[in-house]
Amino acid sequence: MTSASDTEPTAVTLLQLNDDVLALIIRQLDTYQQFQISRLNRRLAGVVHMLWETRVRNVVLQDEMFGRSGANSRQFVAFILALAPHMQHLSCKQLDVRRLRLLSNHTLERIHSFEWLGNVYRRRRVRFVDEDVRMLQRVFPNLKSLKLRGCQITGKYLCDLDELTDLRLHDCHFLESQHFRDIFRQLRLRKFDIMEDCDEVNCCDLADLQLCPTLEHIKIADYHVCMESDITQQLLTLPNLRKLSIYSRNFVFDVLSRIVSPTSPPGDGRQIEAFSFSGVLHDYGRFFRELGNLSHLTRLELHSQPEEEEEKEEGVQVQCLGDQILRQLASQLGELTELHLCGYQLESPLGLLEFVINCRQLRVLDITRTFCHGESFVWRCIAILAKQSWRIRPLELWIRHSDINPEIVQSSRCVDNIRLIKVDAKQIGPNTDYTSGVLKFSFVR
Amino acid sequence: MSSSSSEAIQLQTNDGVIHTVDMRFALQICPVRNMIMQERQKNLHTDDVIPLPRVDAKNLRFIIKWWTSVQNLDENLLTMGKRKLKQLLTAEHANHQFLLQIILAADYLQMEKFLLISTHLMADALNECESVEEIRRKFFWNKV
Repeated sequence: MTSASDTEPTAVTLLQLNDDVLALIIRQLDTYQQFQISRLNRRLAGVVHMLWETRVRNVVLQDEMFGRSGANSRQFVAFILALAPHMQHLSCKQLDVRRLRLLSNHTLERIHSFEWLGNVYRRRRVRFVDEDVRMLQRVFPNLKSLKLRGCQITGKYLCDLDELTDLRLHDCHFLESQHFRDIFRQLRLRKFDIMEDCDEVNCCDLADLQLCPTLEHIKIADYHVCMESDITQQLLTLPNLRKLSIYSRNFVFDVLSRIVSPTSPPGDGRQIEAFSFSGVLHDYGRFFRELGNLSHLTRLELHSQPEEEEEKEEGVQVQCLGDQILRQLASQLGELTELHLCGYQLESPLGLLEFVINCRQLRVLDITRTFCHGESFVWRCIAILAKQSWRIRPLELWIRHSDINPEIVQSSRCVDNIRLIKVDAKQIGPNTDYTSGVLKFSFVR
Repeated sequence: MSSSSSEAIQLQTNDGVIHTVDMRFALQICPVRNMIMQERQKNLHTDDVIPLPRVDAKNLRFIIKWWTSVQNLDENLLTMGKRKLKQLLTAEHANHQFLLQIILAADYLQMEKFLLISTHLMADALNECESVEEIRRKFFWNKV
């Protein structure tokens, strides 16, 4: 019916499609192919231009985009210059740095965000080095956000990127502490992330962090906090700090106690309003004792282990939380409005119920993946809430993947008490925002 | 006119062939759907054959075949529909020319999902080309 011999005589070309249909096809191609096609014909150039005007603010470059068609230096530069009026964010993934260097004599003013994602494990590859940072300064004079991964830089010229407000350094194992003083002194950074750069061998001293008072969001590792120079004080006195994330594999308790301890820092430390942690701990008693110091905490999120890891590791033991430590914490954190306790086994419902009793402003109780002894927990919650005349809105109870039957949502008891409790059993996908081993603190503005 | 599954309607392609098709398929074709809706609003009931002056019989038959194979898919229509379209094209030994023809037909018939899927497949075909010269040869007949 539609064999090749049947269909060949009528020669149709892509140009017979209207611009909208051509755009549907061309938008599926990578940006370099779009550039190549645009050079075939004026009409195609118009379609590509139309797409680029709205769709190429973020451009990702990879070697394979150019390898197949054997793009030479001239073609690569022509491609980037054609994109330049449209793109604002450029991301280079596993790109040969020699391609990037082809741009060294050009200025791309519109680009304000640049990402270099190199591969530290790929041998015999020319590395992104300090001189390339200098080149970035020339090529992208308005760079505000810079993310470098797998680079062989010392950090020497980073301080020259005057406009930078967001600096993220991942897997850059050649960074030298001496250059951070200039970085913090000369740049007006708002976000600084060096969380993934650090281990006991390679760890930069961030003692001069306080020289950058504009910092709002900091992501570091425990070694940075617990080095010879303890930077806890510098961190907590930063006037604009909103979020502090500290990755810790081995020193969770030490890091937590330094940040939350009432004696550190002396004077007026920043007030912490939210805390979250995801990971496995061996001593929840100690962990909760430290958290008990955060009496102004309004949001507490604890995830025993990210869902996807749990799925990977079958038979992983669920961590058990005793009533005593939960009750103690509930009595200390009376200002909580949100409590997320996800992926635990509770000794009994009593510990958790204590939060419902003590936290008068509690609006969200999230027990996703937690075993809290079934439906009886909900009935006891309702009984407690019925006596709390001060409540102006119902308590939201999130029970996804817990041991509470999701059909409870439709039960007459829940429906009748909708003014007291709103049970939510929505089966949404796993939240992948929780990197294991990261302590996250949010500070009051 | 009700749209029960047994109901049929006649469409005439530009080569004079009359196709009796399921009403549910006819309603996927935007111009035909509009015509039927207008008739319903005016309480008209006609058995007139609806002409499709820019589609030929072989293209329409192919599109009907594809639609029949995916009509019960509620989810993953884009993924499964694309897979099915690829299978049908392979089974028919169809070439890029034919894919272009059915894209033209889908655009004329304003069958949005089919258009999206067929253009995805065309983009895949362009992606498979080793060079821009190959694209020029295969899809533009060296006319650009």
